[in-house]
Amino acid sequence: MTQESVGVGPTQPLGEAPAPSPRRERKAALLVAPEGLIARHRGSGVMARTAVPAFRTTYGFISHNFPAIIMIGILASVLGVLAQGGPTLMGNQMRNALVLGAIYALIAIGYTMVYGIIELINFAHGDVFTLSGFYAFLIADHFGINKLAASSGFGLLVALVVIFAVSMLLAGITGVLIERVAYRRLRDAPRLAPLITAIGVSFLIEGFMLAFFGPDNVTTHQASWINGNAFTLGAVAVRWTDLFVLGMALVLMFALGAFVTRTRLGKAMRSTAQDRQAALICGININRTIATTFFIGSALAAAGAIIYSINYGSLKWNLGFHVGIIAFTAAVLGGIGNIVGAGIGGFLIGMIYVFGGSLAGGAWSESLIFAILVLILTFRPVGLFGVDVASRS
Amino acid sequence: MRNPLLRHATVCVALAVVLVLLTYVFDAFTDYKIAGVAIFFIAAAGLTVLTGVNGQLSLGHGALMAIGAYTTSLLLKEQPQLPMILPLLAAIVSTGVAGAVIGVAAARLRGPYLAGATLALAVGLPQVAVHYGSVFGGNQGLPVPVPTPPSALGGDFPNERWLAWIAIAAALITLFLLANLVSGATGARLRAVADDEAAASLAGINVARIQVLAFVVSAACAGLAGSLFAYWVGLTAPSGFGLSVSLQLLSAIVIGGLGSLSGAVLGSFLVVMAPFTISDLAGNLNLSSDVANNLPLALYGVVLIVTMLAFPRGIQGALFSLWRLAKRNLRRPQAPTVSTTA
Repeated sequence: MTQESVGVGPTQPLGEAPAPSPRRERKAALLVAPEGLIARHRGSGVMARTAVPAFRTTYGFISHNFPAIIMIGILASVLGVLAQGGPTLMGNQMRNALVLGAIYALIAIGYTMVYGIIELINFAHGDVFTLSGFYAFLIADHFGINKLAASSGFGLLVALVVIFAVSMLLAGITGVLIERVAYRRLRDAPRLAPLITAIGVSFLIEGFMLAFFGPDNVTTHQASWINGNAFTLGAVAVRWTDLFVLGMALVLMFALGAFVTRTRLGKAMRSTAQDRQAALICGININRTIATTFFIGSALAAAGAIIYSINYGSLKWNLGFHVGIIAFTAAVLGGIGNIVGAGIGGFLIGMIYVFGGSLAGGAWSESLIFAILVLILTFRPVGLFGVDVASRS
Repeated sequence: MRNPLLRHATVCVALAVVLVLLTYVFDAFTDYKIAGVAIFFIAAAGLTVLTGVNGQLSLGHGALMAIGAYTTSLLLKEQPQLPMILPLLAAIVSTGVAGAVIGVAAARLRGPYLAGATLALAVGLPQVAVHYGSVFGGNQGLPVPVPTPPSALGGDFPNERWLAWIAIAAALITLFLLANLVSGATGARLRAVADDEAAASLAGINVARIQVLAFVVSAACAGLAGSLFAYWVGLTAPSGFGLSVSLQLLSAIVIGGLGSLSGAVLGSFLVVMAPFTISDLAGNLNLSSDVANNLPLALYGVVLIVTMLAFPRGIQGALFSLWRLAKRNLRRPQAPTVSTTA
């Protein structure tokens, strides 16, 4: 009895963390597959059962305070960078981290939405990101948008609106098309079948981009659209580009949040994610709802790609592969299926990537991300926010 | 033949005879491709046990193959004269141990989280080889000597045929062992855990232990395949074991038919041979070199999509339903249910 009360399980939190009631958990399953959650209470965990109580307590402590530990880790690395390079380096890196985080967040949302609604790791999503970057590149180069953007302040505004609207639309259509051709027919097939078509779609898009844009970096001209610094904080110059990129990402994310929580279609999406059969019985058009999910996810990836090319000025055929894997990590970090979690996870991964990489050496950035992923999965497989943040229904 | 042991042994011996004879019929390059299919099959068969039979999704088998390959090449770097069997065994043991460690962690994870963890393994592990370049040879990798046939086979015996023989032998031994494992009591336990963990647990099965066992068996196969892969390529480099290898293994077992070893054979054949065939085709089409070089990736994607859409249960599943259909129609030729156009 006493030993049991020392042992910490998910329903027995240490310290101040309140135990989520089962009722709240069920309600909170916004876009989360129940079998994705660890079956720890069933006793299938090796560690939970064979380890000595002291180890179990430590494990439980880390597991429960994992968000705090991640935050402390990030804060420590920020302070480490501050100690190493002074406030200028820290400020510059903070700016880089936020911009990178915004891109990851926009892509991670697409992964998490698609997983939430059809339980598919959409391997093609990273390539949709790159492809829509190329859409924007082609539009900007072939319809005089670059000239328009350089002409005047108003021209720039029009150019931005056009490029975002058209590319996001095209990307959305691409996403819907992919779902229609490669995934819909396999919705009731064995669960791994759509995963393989997703890999196939990924290869197809990559091969297509390789054939049309070549194996090297392609320079996009959007990088020169927005010039100059908005203001300087000490020695840290904040460019207009940074403000625009960050603002755009945040606006899109809040718009998505409003869409999912406030509209009928958003409600349909949430109920389809929760229980497709029940949603069908309630008269929800499942096909349209899933298509909408793909449209939104791909459109957000397109926004991320435009932001990427505005900020970094180049694209490459296999860019989406790596960016996609890191964004997937962000989605898992936030708790896959959890839209808000994916957004926050994206920014956290951006911080870890930039600050961790700055301290450990740039070559380690990605290894660090995957080490974090392994830590999350070891100590807190449901992600930082588990299922309860996204519940607004 | 009621005795499965005898049946499996007969099938394997028959396959061995046929394949060895085929290596005499074909030219050296085809032998080389046959060796590739056999090596790929070993890893795919291991993954079938894990993902198909036991229901644990792994996106990280390429990394396990890398462990086997690096074990082999590091051993050969120190002791170039070792007989080939020793590096192979060392690779099986080291990868099996790695599989046990990963399996213990993986037994706690389900669905996308297991996929995420193994994905991290697939992407992260090859980077270790780059970071510790002094040991692992960095991006250039470590060279592996070509296995030379024993002199008893004659002076002009091609290296490719010898490699194909070794690969075929290893593949058939793997097939024999795994077929026995899957059709026996352990196989029943593996499937029970895949179907319903709670029910399996109530039936007295130690779920975690079975899951770790599946990972160890699967990893050992991947290690053997990785080791042979190093000999096949003649080089162990991080780029050879990227995520794409893991994804191809997964494609092979799903396209072949998930959970069936003969499906793994079909899938391996398709996945290894398709790129060669597509490259030949693209080369014959008189396209500009840019497109011709890059088309295979896109076409390979199309092959994956079309095969999956046509046979959602894999080729093996399609053949099986075809067989059942044919049997029913043969028994009752007047049955009106099936039209010829369907």
